[in-house]
Amino acid sequence: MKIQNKIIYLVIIIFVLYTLLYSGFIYYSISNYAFTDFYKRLEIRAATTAKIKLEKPSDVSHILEMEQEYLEKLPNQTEYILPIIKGKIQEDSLSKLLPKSLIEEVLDNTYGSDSEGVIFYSGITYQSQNGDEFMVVVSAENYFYSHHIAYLRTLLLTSLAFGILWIVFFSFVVSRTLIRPIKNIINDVRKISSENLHLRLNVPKKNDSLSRLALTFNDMLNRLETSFETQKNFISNASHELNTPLTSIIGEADFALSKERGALAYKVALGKILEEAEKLDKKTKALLFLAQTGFNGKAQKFDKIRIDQLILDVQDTVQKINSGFKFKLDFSLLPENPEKLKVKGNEQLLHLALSNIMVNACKYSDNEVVHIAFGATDKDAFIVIRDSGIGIPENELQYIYDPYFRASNTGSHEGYGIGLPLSRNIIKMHDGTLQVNSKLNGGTTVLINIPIGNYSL
Amino acid sequence: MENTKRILIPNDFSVKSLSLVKEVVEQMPNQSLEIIMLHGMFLPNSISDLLFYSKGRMIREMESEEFLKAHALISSKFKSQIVSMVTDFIYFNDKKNMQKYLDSNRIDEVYIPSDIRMDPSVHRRSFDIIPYLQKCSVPVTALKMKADTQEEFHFTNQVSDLFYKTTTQPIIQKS
Repeated sequence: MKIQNKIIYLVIIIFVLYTLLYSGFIYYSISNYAFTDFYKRLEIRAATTAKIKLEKPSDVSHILEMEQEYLEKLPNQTEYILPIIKGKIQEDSLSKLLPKSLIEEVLDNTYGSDSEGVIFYSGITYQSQNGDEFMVVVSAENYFYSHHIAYLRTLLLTSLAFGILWIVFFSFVVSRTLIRPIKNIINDVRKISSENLHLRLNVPKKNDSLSRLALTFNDMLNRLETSFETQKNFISNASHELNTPLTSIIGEADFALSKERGALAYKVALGKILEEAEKLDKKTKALLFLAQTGFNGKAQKFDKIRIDQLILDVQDTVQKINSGFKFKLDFSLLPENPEKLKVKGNEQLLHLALSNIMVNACKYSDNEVVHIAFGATDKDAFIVIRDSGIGIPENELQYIYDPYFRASNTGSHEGYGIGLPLSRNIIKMHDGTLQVNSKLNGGTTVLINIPIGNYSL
Repeated sequence: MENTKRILIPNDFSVKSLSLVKEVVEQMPNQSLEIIMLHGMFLPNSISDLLFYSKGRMIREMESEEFLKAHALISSKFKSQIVSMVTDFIYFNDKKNMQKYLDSNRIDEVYIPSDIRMDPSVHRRSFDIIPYLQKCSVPVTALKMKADTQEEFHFTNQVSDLFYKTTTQPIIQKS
């Protein structure tokens, strides 16, 4: 069953049960009241009738007056006066008109009441002044019971019907509005597959469970995408960086073996091969180190990291990958308080993010000097990486975080368009921001903001 | 540490004017400083504007996010040196009032940039206070500021502008 229908049914059932109980109780107590009230009125009438009919008219003139003055005749009011002889009623045509149970009840209790359809009976026994005993019964149609209660019943039933219609509509609307965000999330999630892992759910603005659900889902996607991209990043880096030394090793060996050479020539060739192989070894190690992040099987741990140390480490790694990369570090705005250098983060992931940006900066500026600066405010650590390379065309800046996107002017530079989205994801996982400013042929500046962890001295 | 010095630096709410602050503070190590960053701005003309005018709100409106970030960076870098760093407005563009302002705030020294102009178009009522500062009887040091790392960075008014070492030489000093 759809959750939407479930909500509707549940609301309707609750509503109907409640309304039935509510109106049933009202109906029951009103009709109960109508019975007792009417019996009381009939009893009074029986008493007055007995007095008027069975006593001397001169004694009861004031009662007669009062009856004529104030007691209106009830609809179908009939009075019965039956003499009681030896505790029994004579069976005649008059007594046959009355219900038997009523007569017995009156004889037993000196008072009794009964009803037949809308006709109500109330009877008493009465002893006249000359000692004769009578049973006086007054019957009348209970107008309140026959008309008003029926009206109340139809009123309650129609209002119940209207209420159900209204509640169906209302619960439908409510469930739609409640369900819609969930439906949106479902539709969004359906669109996401391993091919477009960069898509994210729209987070509703309201800070409720659903927006937290969307946020959690986005966080999960961030982590998933990061680990996917880390692997791709390794492959793209490896294929790009390992190729060069391998080509020179093969070339050198090929050249040395192409004909007989003297011992010295072989020595030189082997020396070159060794040199390249060492480079290759360094690169492989550096790449493997970078590749370990994200999918090393361990949980991603967030620790204290000193950003300045991290920058130096990354510089070291990046230069192992390509010794041609040049950096100039500017720590002139290093804060006085060393605690402000510490952020909470995963060192390997941040290492990977920074190394990607730094490698990009070097690559797209043809190994010109890349400036790296670091500073901190009370809340954030700032890392600025600025190159003077080819830049990014202005109209393409918005796409740079799309996986596999490469700006139109990157033709001569190898790459796969994986590094920057990965870096941004990693920075996002650390609640930071990554800002890219660039101008075509005017260089690129990347500003990274990472909130400082709350560490006390 | 010596006695606290009160210095005044013109301010146009750009990161550039903050890099001037950075240079000045760096030139005086072990000197605690109270810095006033002064911006020239006329008061609004209409009565209703004047009625609801608030200096604090005006300053908050004019401070861009980048400016605030750069401000925070500098104050955290020179925490022990900078006692206070506040932004203020002056509302009159004449020498007499400027002198009064400098006197009443007991300004010891004024630093101005010699080769970059303060942006006069920050606000439509802004005016350049440097000419009036130069006429006053407080020592004024003009600093030459130019990025030496690269010819010219195209993006200005970014936090990153703060970082690139600027050469500063006092070229004119007037007391």
